[in-house]
Amino acid sequence: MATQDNKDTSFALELAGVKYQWPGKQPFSIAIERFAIEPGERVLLLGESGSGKSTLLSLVCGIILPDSGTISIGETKLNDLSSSARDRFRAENIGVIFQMFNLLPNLTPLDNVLLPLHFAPARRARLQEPARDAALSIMEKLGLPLEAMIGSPASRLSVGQQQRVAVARALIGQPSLIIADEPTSALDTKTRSTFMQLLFAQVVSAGSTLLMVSHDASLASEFDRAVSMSEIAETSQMVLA
Amino acid sequence: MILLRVAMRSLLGRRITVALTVFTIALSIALLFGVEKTRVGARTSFADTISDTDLIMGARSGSVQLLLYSVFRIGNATNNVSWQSYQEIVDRPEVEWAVPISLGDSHRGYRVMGTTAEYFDRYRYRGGRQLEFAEGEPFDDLFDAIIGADVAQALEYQLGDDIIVAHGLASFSAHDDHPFKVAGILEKTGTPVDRTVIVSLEAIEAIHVDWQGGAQILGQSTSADVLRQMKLTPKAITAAMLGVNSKLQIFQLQRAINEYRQEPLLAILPGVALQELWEIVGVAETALAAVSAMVVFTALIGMMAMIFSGLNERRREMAILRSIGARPSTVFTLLLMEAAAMTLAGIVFGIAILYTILWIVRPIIDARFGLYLPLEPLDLREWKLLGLIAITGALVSIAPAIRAYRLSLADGMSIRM
Repeated sequence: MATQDNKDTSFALELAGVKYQWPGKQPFSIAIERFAIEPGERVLLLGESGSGKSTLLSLVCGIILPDSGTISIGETKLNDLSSSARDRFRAENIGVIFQMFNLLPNLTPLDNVLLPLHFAPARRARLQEPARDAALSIMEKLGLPLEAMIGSPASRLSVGQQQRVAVARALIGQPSLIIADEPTSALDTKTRSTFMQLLFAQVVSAGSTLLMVSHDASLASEFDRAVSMSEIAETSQMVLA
Repeated sequence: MILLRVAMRSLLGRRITVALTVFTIALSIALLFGVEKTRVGARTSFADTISDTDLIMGARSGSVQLLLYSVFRIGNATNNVSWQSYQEIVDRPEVEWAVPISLGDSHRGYRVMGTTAEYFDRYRYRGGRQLEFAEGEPFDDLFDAIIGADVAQALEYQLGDDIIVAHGLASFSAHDDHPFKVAGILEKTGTPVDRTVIVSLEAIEAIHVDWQGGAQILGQSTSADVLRQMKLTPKAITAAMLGVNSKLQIFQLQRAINEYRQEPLLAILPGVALQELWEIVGVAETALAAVSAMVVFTALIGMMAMIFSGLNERRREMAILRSIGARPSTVFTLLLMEAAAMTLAGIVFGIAILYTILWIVRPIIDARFGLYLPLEPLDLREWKLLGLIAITGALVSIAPAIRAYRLSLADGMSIRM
């Protein structure tokens, strides 16, 4: 772990005075005065497309660095880390679930779940049992048919199953922060509610913090807190003629 | 190791394009090494045309010229060696054996060579192999002729057939009053011997008894029986193959011949002259090797194009890898590994193709062209060449890998399609 902040209490995630502007011909900029999540909290971040959700997630994951301000995860300030140290930090501490196409299609689901451990030795060390057993056990808890997890490529699974494998991959080794980027948008209503239940159960049992981004306000009741992008961030898009 | 599995799985997922790419590389490598093996085979066959002969002696000219007319039967001697000089050289203490040869006449486009029966013992090719008779035996009678395998095959000669020797190489005057009989047919050797009619030195003398200044003396024809009784000592020979008692004496004898006062003579070491000759012929083989090397390079460029064209659809894969903590350099390494795996597969497959083809065509090439291709494992030079190809494969894939690095740096975790 890199630099530590001397704070009495540390948030699971904290952004303060963050400003970022994408380089390019149509610069998009985002400014976040303050946004923080308590450890173990489950937060829904609501926002329409173009509201800066993706930029926020890239900042939180340390893919990009803010032009000013600080981003902290736990006691670590991402600003202080080099690019490769941020990559390592992300591997160790953040699990990411995308909207869809989460898996490497040619690997088996099991290999997909084991893959992040390759980049995160501490996460691997945190496992109570051999990595393969841990992966299978979490997949079993997510209601995935184990025989389909081992032999054939991930591309053979249904979208719903693929999303659940993505949850297993995000949660293995209990990273402190789970980022989910509209993970249910490709699922039908029934699959969606099952998925949400399973996700919550596993997040709770791993003791992780959950930040989920969505445009679907109906999900809000299931979370500890729902925040709208417009409440925390100011965005501007200069369109050049 | 899991990264290797990711690379392998990703290749498997694109198995058709990958297989075609690997096949292209394999074919190009089989071609390059095929050319290389043929080149070495040709060179060896060439160098194997004559072996175990220490020196070749002839009238003074160039060493390559002497080699060409005495061994390859190409071109003509500028002058002869007098029998007396030959005798004096042969009587030197260094000389263990000597085989004189006399060239100048021909039979239907094939050279006629006069020599002694010792020629069949002393002439060696391909690392000491001896001439062998497919049919018949060395000459017994004055008008016996031994023919090479190609002569027998092309002219459909059999034992006992008559042969009329023409005077000179391209002339209308023939020694038709003294026909020869085919007394022996040699096994195929892959050397110029296959294309030679061999008669005794005395026979060459005999058919020229009635000749003077390149034409037959009008109305004069000595009968064969009379000729058989005559003492037919040649006045001159074209060249001679010499063996020395001890290898240490080769240079001593060579100097003695080259400094021979009575007559300008030249002695050459066949191996050295062959080397000189090969350097002249070698330009073509270098060109051929260069062309096949270009083919391998083209195949590797093809692989680079294939990786490049696949990059866009793989941006999703890269974003996933980035999201789970892979660094852009990991993506770079992954692409290099894939290229290395494809090159390696191409190499292994290519060498397999090469040896399979070699194994099949080897007997055919040996019989048809007298080109002996040894079926040997790869030598150090060839291993080095393979290493060079592997490195080149990795090098050409650096460009798409850098592009992937940049893409994954720019895309981050956002999945762009």
